[in-house]
Amino acid sequence: MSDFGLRISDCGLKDQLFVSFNPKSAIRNRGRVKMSKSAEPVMLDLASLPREQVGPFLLLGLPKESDKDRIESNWADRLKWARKNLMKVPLEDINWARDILNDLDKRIRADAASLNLDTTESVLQTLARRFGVAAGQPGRAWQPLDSEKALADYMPPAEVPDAAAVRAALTVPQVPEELPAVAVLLERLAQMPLDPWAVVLPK
Amino acid sequence: MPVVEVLEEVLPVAEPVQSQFEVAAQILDRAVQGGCQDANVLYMLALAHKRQGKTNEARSALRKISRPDANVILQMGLLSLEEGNLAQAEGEFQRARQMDKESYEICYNLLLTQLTLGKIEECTKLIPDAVELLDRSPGTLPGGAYAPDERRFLQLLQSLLQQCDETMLRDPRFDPVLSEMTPDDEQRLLKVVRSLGQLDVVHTLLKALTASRPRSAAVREAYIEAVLVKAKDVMDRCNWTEAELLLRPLANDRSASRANQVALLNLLGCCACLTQDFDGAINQFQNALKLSDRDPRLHQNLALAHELRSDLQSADAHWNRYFDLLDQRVPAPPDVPKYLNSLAYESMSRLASRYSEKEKWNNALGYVQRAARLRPDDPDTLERLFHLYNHAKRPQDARQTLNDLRRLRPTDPQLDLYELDLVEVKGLADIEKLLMEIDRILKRYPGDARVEERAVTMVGNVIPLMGNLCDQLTEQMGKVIDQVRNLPNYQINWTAVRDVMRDLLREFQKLRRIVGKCMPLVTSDEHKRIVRDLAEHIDKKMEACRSMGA
Repeated sequence: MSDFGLRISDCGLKDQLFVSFNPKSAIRNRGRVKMSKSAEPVMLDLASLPREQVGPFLLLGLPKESDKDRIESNWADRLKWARKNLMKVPLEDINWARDILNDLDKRIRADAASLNLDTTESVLQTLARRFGVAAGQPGRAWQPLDSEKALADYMPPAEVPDAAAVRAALTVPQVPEELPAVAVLLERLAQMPLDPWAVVLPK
Repeated sequence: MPVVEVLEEVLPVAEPVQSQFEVAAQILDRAVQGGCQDANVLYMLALAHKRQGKTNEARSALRKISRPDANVILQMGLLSLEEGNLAQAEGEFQRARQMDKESYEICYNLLLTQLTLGKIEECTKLIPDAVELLDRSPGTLPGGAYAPDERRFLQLLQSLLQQCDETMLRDPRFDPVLSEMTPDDEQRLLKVVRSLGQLDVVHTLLKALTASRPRSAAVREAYIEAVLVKAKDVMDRCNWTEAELLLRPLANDRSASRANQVALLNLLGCCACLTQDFDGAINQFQNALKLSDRDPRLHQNLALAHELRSDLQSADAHWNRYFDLLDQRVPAPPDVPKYLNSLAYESMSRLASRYSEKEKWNNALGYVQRAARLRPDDPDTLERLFHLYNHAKRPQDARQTLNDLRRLRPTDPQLDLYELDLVEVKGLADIEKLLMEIDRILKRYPGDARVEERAVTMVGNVIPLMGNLCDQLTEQMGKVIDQVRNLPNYQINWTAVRDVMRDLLREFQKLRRIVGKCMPLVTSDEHKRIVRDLAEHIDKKMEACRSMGA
């Protein structure tokens, strides 16, 4: 960040930022700043503090309590914005901020020396959540109206046989009175060797 | 038996059970894979996926429907909304509406999607159609809403959107619908506006609503909140001037809640500070502190603003208050243990450095003493404390600190040299003693870079002292020579002159010996040149003394 821009407190133009164009003050400040011809408020490109004084938290738009994932995510966003000229901060400063925050000692030192955008009660974070713009939160919070087709009783156009008719059509074979397995079992028992000494006689 | 095992025995563990939507999706998916292309089966499969939050699968099932009707497109729009793709959702709702102009749900969703996208003109045109659909609807809508309530809400929204026109914002006209709405209607409207999730749109709508209802505290509060969130968003992109332009009109607003006022003044202070208007920043931070004196972060901001104006004295009070208030209320990163303790320590160390840069040793000493109380066994802090005691001319405390340091670093050779810092150099004897000690320590720790470096610095500090002593002796000699030159010969007490010259010669000889001892301890070329010149100068003076009868 440049440290050679116009210092607002030095030139006394602060109030002109917020009022319409005033020809008298334009004459008074002639030569110091290029004035717009329109009736829109005059926008001055003010000098910012050097990056060490702005601090890594403000450069990456992070609360001081952010965890590593949040640091990486904000860093990646800002890299994209800087490459697309959506942000005035140079890439070098964005990378510098990330390096500082990834080194714990440097991070704590930076915390001690940088401004807090939010209060201790985190009022701004709470408001951001309420408006659906906090990090990792889906933007929209309104509920759309849904109407689904009622298909609970839907019958697909396929031939499904009637369960009662199928049951009626089944013929169960009759169980024979003779049990053919008995003869086989007795035959197998008779073929087994018999040890007379192993027989325990009842007393 | 360990407690965990007992608990495992007593407490039933939930078995993973397939949800009914999961089972339905599996069966329907099997049917589709088996060749079923029935639109309703695909639709039911999409719903089963949707209810499980599987938007991709749901969309691919809907896409397989060969002739999608309005409801299918509506479902696709809902999926796009779920994915946060507002532009796609708008397109799908528009397509659905072309197919079915009678669906209030489609119309309502399109309306709110366009509103979220900030398409106020399109939205304004759509509201009469939605109202007409409501007129044809029964009392209660499918979502459970009551049609007359819904109609009233849409009329309010229409009036609000009409007020959003730029010319209307500059010169708001009286709108009876907006100015006479009930508190319940106002709450509903605020809720919907807040839920849009697009800051620019929310800001525009609330600005228009504030202009139409200037006496409503709830609307004013919501507007201030929106401005605060938007300003913070702008500041997160490092656009300090734009943020200040947003906040400035609200600077004197006292209608907001205390917390919001504090946040507003604090943000204004930060903007001012970041654009180097430090006086303005101090003013804003002080106003914020009047409302919330127990906020450590505000004290830190004010202290930093004073520092940036190079007014360390004024910053001091706020730093002290900051340290007093720094407790568990202050949010800290979850993955860093004892963060606040480290923060306090680093803040104190930093302040000590700032005061040391300005050679305000006592102020610096105060902060390092506090830092040492936080980390009593930290040798670096004690070393710093030792040097500050030396600078502040407190040799007793310095000696005590050096003893503590010896306890923590018993083998550190540098500490022997630190001992020499405590020697007060008053004359030639002190200088000689100092140089001998340095020589002794260097011989005891040969090749120790830290000792050599420190010794060079100490010898470098001694060289100017020798120069001063040489100048003093030369001056005395000059006075005697002047008197001898200006007085007639018979008035000169030659005995006294010889005595003085003898004394001066003795002092010069002593100094020459010390300079000789200094020579081997000097390493830099510059120092060597100075010492050599000094030795030559002393030799000349000694010769002069001798020529005067010494």
